[in-house]
Amino acid sequence: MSDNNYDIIVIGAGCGGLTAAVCAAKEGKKVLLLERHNAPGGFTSSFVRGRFEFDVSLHQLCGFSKEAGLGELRRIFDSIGISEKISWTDVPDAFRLVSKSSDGTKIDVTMPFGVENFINAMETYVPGSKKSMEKLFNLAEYIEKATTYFSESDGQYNLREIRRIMKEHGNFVRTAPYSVNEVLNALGVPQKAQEIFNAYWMYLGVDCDRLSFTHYVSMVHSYLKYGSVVPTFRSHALSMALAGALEDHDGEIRYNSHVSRILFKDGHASGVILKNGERIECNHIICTCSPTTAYSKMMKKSDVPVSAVKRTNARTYGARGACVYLGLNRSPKDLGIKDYSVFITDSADTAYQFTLMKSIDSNNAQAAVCLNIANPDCSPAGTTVLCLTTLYTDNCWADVSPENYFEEKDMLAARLIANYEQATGITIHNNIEELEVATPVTFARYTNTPQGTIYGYFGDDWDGIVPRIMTEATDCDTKGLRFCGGWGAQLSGVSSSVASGRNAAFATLGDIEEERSENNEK
Amino acid sequence: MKNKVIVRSSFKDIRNFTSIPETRKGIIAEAPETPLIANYAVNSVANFLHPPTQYLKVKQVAEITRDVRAYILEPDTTHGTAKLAYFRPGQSISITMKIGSAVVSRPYTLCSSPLRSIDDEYVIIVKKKPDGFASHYILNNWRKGTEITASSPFGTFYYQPLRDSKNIVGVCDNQGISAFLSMAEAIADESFKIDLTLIYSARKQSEAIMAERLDELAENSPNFRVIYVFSDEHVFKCERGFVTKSLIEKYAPGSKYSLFACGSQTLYNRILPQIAELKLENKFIRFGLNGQIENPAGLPDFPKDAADKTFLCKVMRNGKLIGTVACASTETLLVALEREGIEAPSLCRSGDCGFCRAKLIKGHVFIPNGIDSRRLADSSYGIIHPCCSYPMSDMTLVIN
Repeated sequence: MSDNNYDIIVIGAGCGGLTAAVCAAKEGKKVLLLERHNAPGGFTSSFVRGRFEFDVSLHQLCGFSKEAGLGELRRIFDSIGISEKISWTDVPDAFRLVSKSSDGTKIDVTMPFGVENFINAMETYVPGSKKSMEKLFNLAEYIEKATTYFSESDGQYNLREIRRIMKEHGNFVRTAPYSVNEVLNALGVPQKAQEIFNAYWMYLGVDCDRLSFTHYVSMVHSYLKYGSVVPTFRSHALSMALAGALEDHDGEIRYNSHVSRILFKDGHASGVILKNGERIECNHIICTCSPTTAYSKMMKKSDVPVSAVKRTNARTYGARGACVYLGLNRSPKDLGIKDYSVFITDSADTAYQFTLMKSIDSNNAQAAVCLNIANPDCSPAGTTVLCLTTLYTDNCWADVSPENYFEEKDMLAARLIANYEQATGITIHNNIEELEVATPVTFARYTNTPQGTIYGYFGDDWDGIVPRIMTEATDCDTKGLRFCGGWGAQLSGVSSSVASGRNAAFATLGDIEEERSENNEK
Repeated sequence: MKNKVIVRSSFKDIRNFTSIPETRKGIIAEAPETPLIANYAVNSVANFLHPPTQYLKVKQVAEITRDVRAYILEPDTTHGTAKLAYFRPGQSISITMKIGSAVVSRPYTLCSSPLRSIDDEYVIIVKKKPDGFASHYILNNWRKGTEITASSPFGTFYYQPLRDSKNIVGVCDNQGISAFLSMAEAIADESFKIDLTLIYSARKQSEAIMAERLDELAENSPNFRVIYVFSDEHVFKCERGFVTKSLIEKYAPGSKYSLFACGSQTLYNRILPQIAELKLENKFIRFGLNGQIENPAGLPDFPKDAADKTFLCKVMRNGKLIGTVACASTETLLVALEREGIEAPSLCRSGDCGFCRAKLIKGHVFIPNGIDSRRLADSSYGIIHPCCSYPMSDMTLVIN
């Protein structure tokens, strides 16, 4: 094998690509990971301004318990040996929600971790909710077992397989076709308790009339059961640990390496061409950039199957993100900040709130995170790191002209700060020492996602986690090219991307085996 | 089964589950075959504001003094740059040049108003440094039509309305004048709504480059004024001496203000204690890029026994050894790499932006106090910024 020839090339060193590369290298494959930027991480990165270091996107990790073997993310990190190489910090509480109920009353609740604590807190805010909430979390416990099996399956669902799942995982089967709200209604969860329970919806960017119940309840249950953590030294520590694991397994990473073409030979992926003209050969590719980008920009038209074009045209994009990163010159205590995570929305009716987020002017939603509440030493004594994130459910930032862009950016920051102050009663605008704003334009610049999307393809009812996993086997119509990361079957987010990275690696290892035995038969 | 959950009916729930794959496949089957769009509106805005490379051409050269020239740059359409990227006053572009066998980059702060970039013009000022390298090359070689490769505008030395006071007191010497000239130009054309009081420090009047333009702008705009401070001569209507606490207070507005300082290290060293005495909150003090440290061996934290030593640095890229470079302990690794013609990434050359990020796998370096802006995790994984790292041993460096 020549120098410039690899078993597997992974395009993109976000946490999905990193995980895929590590898992493949660990199985002895010769792996090359190509990254456009000068550092690993993709969205799982951090940046420095003045005396502050800000996480780009991480709010909290889902599915990671401090105890080995518990939680899906924990199990994957255990298997590649990085769980103990990263210093972790616990997130203290689940969330605070400041919103307005559909009955017109104000909601301002603070919810704890721990299933029992959560149910009890809900009962104080919504008397009479206890029984239905217990039912809900019993179901969640049941679903956890089913989904562990389900997400690790190979995505081939014939009748026999379905019958088997039904027998073993009946409650999972009967709730999996539905949205969050439909199942909550069936369980008799009171309206206001539904609204509080649904607070995390912004992490997935799909309103609860369409969001998969299975997906959402798994996420919430995992947060409550295992708690959540953040890397003590920002998410870049996580990316560096993954990159280190890759090198430990003799995998190679090249930074500042922009893949411009994906090559096919006889209908099978065969290599890549970099922006500088360098050609690198391989037999298999795992790509973390969007299939849309790969099909439309990186592949020859004749290499893109019609089925891939149709699938891509059928889909829409998930939420576009925007963040305001604040380094404040007072301690959280002096400012009066007590909450790690606050969801602030105009309406707790998620479908209505979703429509409000279609334009810049009607969007007052945000998820605010104050890292110091979990990690007091994350910034110098007497200072605070606060990150305000919002989502747009349409391409409103496309209309901004470059000359007005900086002003629009500042206006967005002013708006999110004012909303935070109004909802919490905390004044922060006089204490801004550092401020950086990321808009969908910023995310488009750094990650190259279409329209600055941060959540991959939209998880519509027909294209949520369950349908995607159940059709995963037929979704791959480019031989030798698989996708993972935020565009994968598990949808976006660190835990999902890591899981899809592992799955893509294993699927590719399977492809390699299959092709080998085919060749042997010949 | 205990705790059996039913949503619509047992039959419907199972049927709806069973039909999930077919439903999805059906929707995809009905989707059109229209060719996929490769360009997206939001991404176009991103690419317009932050093109990875800007190909420029010298449109005009203006001699300011014998050693200082202003270059008007325009987009080089033949190389694919149709429009100049917009910027904030105070931001810079990095220019990459091949000089002999060396490949070097230099950041230059744009001194024109952002509005002028809409009309396809950037202006930069280049001053010949006595022991300079790139500045000599530019002054000797650039003429009308010279092709230039530049980055998109970058840097965080700009007015941020939510953080800074609308009243800005600027302090500069002639090395930092471009940032304030850009602000003054933008105040004059009304694209920038702040009040700027600039204290311009120089030894002699003849060293205060661009003073005529500044005076002209100050005359025509009530929101901009300039005060000159000369250490070596008396000049009518100008201050004599250095920039001190009391001088800043004399010209600062009565209300709150932000202090923006940009210039040489000599200026920074002189004004830092003075600024400290003003007892401003951190958030009201902003510094421009440091630039390369002029005399690293003179820094209090520089390891004494390392002065006058030269080390060997093995340089690797993509898993291969691409060169071995001799590097003095008093020069940055980046400078040594560039001298050998190694194309190493760089942008701010001040330790700030992290663009030159590289991995030290053997050996150690000195990073001056206060300019280490690495991420926390990077520091613990042997990552360094070669633009502000000085070799303290033989070493192996992996660059990107």
